[in-house]
Amino acid sequence: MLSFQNGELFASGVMEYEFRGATDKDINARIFLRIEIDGIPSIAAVDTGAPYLILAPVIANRLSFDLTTSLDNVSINNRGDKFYGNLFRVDVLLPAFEGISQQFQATVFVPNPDEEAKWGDRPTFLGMQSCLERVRFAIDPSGNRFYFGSLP
Amino acid sequence: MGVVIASPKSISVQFMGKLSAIFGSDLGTITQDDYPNLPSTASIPGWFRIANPADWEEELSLIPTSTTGTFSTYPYLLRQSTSAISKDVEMEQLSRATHQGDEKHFVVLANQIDWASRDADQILIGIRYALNLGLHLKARKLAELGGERYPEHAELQKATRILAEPSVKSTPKPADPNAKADMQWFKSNGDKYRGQWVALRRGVLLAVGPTSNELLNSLENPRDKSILITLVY
Repeated sequence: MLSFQNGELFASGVMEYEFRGATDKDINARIFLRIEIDGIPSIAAVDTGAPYLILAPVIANRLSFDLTTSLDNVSINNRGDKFYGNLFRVDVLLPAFEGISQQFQATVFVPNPDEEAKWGDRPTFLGMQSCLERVRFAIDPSGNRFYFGSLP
Repeated sequence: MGVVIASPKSISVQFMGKLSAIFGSDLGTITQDDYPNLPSTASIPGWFRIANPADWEEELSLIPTSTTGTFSTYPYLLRQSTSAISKDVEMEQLSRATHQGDEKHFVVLANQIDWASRDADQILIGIRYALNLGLHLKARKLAELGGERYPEHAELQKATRILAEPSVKSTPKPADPNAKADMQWFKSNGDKYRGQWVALRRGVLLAVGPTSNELLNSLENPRDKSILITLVY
């Protein structure tokens, strides 16, 4: 695993990622990780320009959300479109292929059901603010390896 | 004590300059745009009408500490304690910026508000406005402030919890061979199934479909939480 010069661990786990466009029309490739959201396995694209974990409707439908625990009427901009939905808190797991898996609680945006058609084939996105912001991570493009660890 | 100048239209620089000279820095302005739903004939308790704007300097000297006028095309003045009124004006402006989708103006207005002096409901409204506009960092900052000031306010506490920084779980979890197996499947088979929906369990393909609905319908137990369901990107 990765360490600082003083021996402090930077990353305690590593997984492999896929590097592909998020949709057929995508001109830029993205890092796709295999994660778990409240225990449900999922594929998500890393998007450090986005806030939250942004759920694709097909994944949202598999999770049981209690609307009374949410903040509603929230908007996000995603790839040129505005979506409305609710914010919840969920457990996210970065499962290690080697080392220690990383689990954290993050804010998740769930699009309103009537946004599903507009969402199209976009994936779930792992955003930065309120999601990856407290995780150390680094990538090694030579082996498509995504290193991660917790802050001290 | 403070003074608020109200006008149906924006007040001229010259007019404002003279008012500032009289009332000092304790001077605020609002215009008819701040009250878009107010009928033009409405009475506003405590507001004083300048009957003749050309002679406003003379009229100002006659203004009592509080008076009443009707809302028309003339400027009005209010001279009394204005703290409560100023706050309402600020929230009205925030509301308008939100409904107009004007994020930049919203940020300017929100940064001018002394949120620490606001009650819990007003902070919650500010958070909701910010979220409606997609101003997530602003919403979080308001939630942090509100959560600290009002620990008994359930809705504000909920907002604070949802918008908080992620909390890392300290209990270590071991490596997960299932995740590795799933990703290995994509590496080996991704090109073959690109653009299709697949269901995997521990790296084993269970079903394929052209849409998520068709895939789910083909599964024996689509609610099985151990199954990875995804479009192959």
